[in-house]
Amino acid sequence: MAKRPDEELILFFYGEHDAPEEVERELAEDAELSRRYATLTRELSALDSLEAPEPRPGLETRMWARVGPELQPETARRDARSRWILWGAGATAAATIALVGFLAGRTYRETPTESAVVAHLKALPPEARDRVLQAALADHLDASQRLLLEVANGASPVDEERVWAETLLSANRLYRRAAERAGQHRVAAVLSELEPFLTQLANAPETFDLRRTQEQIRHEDLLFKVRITRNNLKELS
Amino acid sequence: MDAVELERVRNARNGDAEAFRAIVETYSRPLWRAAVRVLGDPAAAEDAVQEAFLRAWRALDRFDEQAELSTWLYRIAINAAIDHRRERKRRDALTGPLPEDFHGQVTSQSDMADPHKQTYWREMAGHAQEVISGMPEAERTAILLRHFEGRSIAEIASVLGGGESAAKQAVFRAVRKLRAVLGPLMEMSRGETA
Repeated sequence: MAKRPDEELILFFYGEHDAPEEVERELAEDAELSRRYATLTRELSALDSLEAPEPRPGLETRMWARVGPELQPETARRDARSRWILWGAGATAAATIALVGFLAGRTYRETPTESAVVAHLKALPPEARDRVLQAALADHLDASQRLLLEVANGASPVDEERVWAETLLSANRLYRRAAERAGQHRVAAVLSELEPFLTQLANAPETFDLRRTQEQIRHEDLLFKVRITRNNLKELS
Repeated sequence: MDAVELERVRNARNGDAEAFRAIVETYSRPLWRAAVRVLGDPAAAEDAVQEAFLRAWRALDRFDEQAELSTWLYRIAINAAIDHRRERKRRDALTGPLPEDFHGQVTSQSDMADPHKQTYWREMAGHAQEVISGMPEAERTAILLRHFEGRSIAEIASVLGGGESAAKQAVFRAVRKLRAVLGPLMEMSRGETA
């Protein structure tokens, strides 16, 4: 009788063998095979001791309370997508200009230089400086997260998204440098990681293959990082 | 997929939040169980399942109605849990570890009334947990889904995104690794009690 490899016994154990009757018959007739199968069963039975804990009561209700408010009707979302993208780009541009203008103590028509921004940032009392930077950064990360989500969910960069990415890219560079100079190294690190994606999307050709970018977003956990940094900043500000 | 579930998916796809609510309530518990096995932390598992449902909601348009909803949701939940685990590892490196993984929570063995056997199974479960934690993601996912969730090789293949042969190999490798650790320990303890 040909020797059954362990792999076949594993398949049989899990009810996945193509010919279970044959294995059963051999197990009844072949003492050595039966011994091997008993050993496999005993060893895998250790896993049965590893039951997961039960969730806290009310998991289903709690989960819906967490998920429900985050949902947007899909159809409405589709209709709103274009408007939303434009809003995202506009809001980011406005936030950038507002921050720069505020920090520089000038009107937004007089675009301040980065060193002027930093000088004014440093001149603010530390608490006020941090709050301003944190609030503006949180908005920027919010907008960046939404763009990443669109891409991660399969939306190809169309013209509107390219414009959005360009706007976010300029804001990102400004915030990153400001964060670096203000000593916000962790935030600066997340912004540094975000920058290549924004650059890719801003410069995406018409026939853009999303898969690599999606894989990168996934592999580098960019969405999680952006979300966590944004949440931390919102809590602080 | 049964007719009720298919209708829920179609309604949810059209923006019906109540239909999605039924899906959330049906699958919260099994997805949480899968996530907690990947993460080892009940609270983090809830976060991962929440993320999974949000990802599922956003991706409903791409759900293939020929596929099983449960398999599709498992895949999303396990990926969300794996993402969460990676993120936690990075955070731990910066801020110190979060609550420890559950190790060897022993439940219903027929001989649990015997304290010696209880200790024995707890030790074996602890070793099994360590082996599983150290496995590459594909193997960990494969053994968790096959052994604990009773998912078929075909479903595991769908979750892992490869063919059935690759899924089988992942299960085989995982079982081999477990046996390589548990087998000698069990032999040793049989020798001690003989």
